[in-house]
Amino acid sequence: MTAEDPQTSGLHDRARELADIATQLGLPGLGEHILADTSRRLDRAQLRVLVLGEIKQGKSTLINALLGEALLPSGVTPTTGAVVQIVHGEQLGRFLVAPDGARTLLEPEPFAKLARGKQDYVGTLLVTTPSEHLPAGVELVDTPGINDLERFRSLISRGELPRGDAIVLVLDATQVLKLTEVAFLRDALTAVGGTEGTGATLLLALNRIDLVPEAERGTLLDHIHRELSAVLPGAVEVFTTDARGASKAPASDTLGVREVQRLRDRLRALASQSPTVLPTRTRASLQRSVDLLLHHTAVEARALRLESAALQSELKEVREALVQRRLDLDTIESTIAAGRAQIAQTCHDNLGNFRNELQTTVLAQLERSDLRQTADLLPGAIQDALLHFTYHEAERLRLALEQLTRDAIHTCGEQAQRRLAETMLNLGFRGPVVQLQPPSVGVEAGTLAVGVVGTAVMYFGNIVAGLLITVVAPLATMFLRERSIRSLREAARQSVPHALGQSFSELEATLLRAIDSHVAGLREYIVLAHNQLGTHLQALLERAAALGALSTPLAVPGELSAKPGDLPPKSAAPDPRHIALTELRGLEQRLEQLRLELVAPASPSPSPSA
Amino acid sequence: MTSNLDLGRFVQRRQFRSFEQDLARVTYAYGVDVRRFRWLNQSMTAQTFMRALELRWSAVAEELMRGELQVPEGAGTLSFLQEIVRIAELLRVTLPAVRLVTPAARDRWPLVTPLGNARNSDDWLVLDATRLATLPPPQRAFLLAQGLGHIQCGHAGLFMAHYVSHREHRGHAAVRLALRAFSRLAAFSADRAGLLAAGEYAPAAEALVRDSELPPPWYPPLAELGERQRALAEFDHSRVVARVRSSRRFVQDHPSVHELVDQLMHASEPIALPEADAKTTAPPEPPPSPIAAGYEVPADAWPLARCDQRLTVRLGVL
Repeated sequence: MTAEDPQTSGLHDRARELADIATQLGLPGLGEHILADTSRRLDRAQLRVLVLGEIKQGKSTLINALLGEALLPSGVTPTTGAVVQIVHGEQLGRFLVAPDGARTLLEPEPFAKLARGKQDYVGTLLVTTPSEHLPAGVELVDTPGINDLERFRSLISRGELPRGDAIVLVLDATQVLKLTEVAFLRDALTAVGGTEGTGATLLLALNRIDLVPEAERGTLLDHIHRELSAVLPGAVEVFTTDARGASKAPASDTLGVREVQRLRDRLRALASQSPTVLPTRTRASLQRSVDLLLHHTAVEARALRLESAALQSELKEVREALVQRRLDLDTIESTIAAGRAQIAQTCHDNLGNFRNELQTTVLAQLERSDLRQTADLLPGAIQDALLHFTYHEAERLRLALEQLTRDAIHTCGEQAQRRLAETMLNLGFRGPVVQLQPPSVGVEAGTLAVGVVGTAVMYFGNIVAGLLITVVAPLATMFLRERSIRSLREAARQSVPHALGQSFSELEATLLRAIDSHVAGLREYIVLAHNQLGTHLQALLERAAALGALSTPLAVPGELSAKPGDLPPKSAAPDPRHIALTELRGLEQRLEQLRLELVAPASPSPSPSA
Repeated sequence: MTSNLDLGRFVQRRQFRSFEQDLARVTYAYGVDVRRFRWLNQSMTAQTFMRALELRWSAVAEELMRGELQVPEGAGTLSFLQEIVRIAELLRVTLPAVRLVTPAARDRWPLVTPLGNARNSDDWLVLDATRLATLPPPQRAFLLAQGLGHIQCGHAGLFMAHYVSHREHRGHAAVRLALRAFSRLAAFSADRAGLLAAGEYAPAAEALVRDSELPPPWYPPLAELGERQRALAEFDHSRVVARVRSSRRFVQDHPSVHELVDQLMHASEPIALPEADAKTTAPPEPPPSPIAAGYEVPADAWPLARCDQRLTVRLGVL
């Protein structure tokens, strides 16, 4: 991989452009992350392997076993309270790396104190090791337990997820796959963009396998594959390790120790594939950044339209939530799950009520005497009535989804509005199809035949027969016509409930898809931005508020006009919020374009200035 | 249960919309075609036979949705739908239900197919979106507008009758023969609608050639390509086309009212008040009228009646 490689330079260009957009949105930190990750992957060819798991699953012990030396503190009490990076180096060293990159060498004791989270510090903990077991292109990252809420959330583990290239999820073989672990795995996969076509790798280390009887190991693996099939389509690589055994007796020939060796080989293989994996990973990571920035633009676009008081109120809410740590993933997810269930239930009830009402009204309409005229128009009118209801329901849904978003992140974007607008456009075309079956051909043909026969007899028969037909034919026609209408009415009575049932079930499915799509988008946003969500939201709202303060205040009638009839003074400068909105639209289009370019890997990037 | 739903209001609205559509279609459609199809769709005699096929249509429609056709889903179809909305506004057509051909059934359907019953209450516009996406925009607009034109002129029942009779093996040859006179006329009005949406003759003629290549076996026998091209070229000289082109150029060259208001609201320099300027400067000149700016309809453009009359004579209809 060289700097001249067009694919690499294209990815660099796009990363720079994304960083530029992030800076324009008032999020320079995000831009720096994007540039740093791209540089790490493409220039330094460093593959970041995150070792994650709940407290006391043996993450640090597994890393020590993989490295063949006890570099990290491990013990019976939770020991890892900070994120520690382990990279290959010429000699063993423990460092505290300041944000500006300056390294401070640490003795083992102070290092252990910081790694256990016993002492606050600014920067990153770094360990360099000459261990032959750690390939030069791999960076192992040890993290606190995902259920050590205080440490995990206050640090950066989940914020790091989108930046990882491979995830080693460490599970305890004696209590495997708890609900929290499955939920965490789902988040991790959302954050890295899934494992298909993104270059991301997921490895499961089933640690402490030595504590599980041999006879039960097969059942255990079947259980894991079955449980994970819903979250992760395709095969999952599982390593049944015994980290403690491998640390104490690395030469022993037990399954757990052999599996540690196999995991080590797998990491080595990953490192050897990095020239092909890392560009793909960079592309996927940039796509996730595009998604995150698009979510941000939607939040800012809405904020720019808010009135000053409403904006200040939301800004206050976000600040308070940030200080009180209410913007954490678990709280938000439970809020979203409860809100989604309630919205879906209300939607179901509303549809059911309207369906009953529409059915009653349609059947009443069928009893009208001018059925033959209205029957032609009635199916269309039913479509119109249902679409009319649907648009009102969509508006209600939009407000409900925006409220749900506000409950979750204390502000919201334009996503609900856009998703429902797309849904409604499709619905408008589809239209509910309520068939009113025309009367049978026999009745129609009978009516016609009596008419034809009557006319023929009138012309060619004798006077008496003609007179008779003249009287009988209209009566017969009237009878047949009435019968025809009765038949139409009966057919309609039978067909309408079925047709309405079908239409409403389709409609409900479509609206539920819109709700789920919004909820999935919201979860994605939270997972992608989790660690920085609060600060990002605050920055976006503050930017909108600052632009609002520069805007010309709205004229109050009677205060600004000195004389009746005078025009209010017109501002010489254009409205900054209007300009910002226009710029935001431009950024959004550019992000959409970048997303397309990142999907098509072959094309080199146009220059940012173009 | 007391109901707040006023279905009668929606019935009335449909009635009014159908009247509006009638008015809109006579501005461009071929008169003989409109009159014949009105008889086919409304007369008791014709409906006696057409309804025999209509009775099968709803069942066929359900079958089609089980594999051959699908509803448009996802953001990828939005651009098509937006294009159809634009053309429907131009032609003042009620939006039909859009169905997309699935990849498995692609070779069995033309690019655009109108289907529906005679009462225009269940109209479908069947699109082969993948192939349509590869066409240049004016050609795509022609084909989409042609489909919408067929629906507006009441031809959906004609296509439905041919499709259902062929699919069900129920007297397709008889249907083809009985409706031959209608099929022969149906293409001209739809081609005209296509030309209005495409804007220029050249892309419309290209799309016409593409459209008439290899129709599926069930397709109604429309007029010959040469005849349709001549009719389209004559309609291209008509006042209707000239007016549509003229208004399109005017819209392109002039900002919309919203843009003007926007410019006024956010003008970088203060706008001078008329009282203050009256002393020092001359009053601003009024904007040039569309006629003065060259957006007029040519004087030698043909009335629609003349296009109709030449076509009628050539076809030997009356």
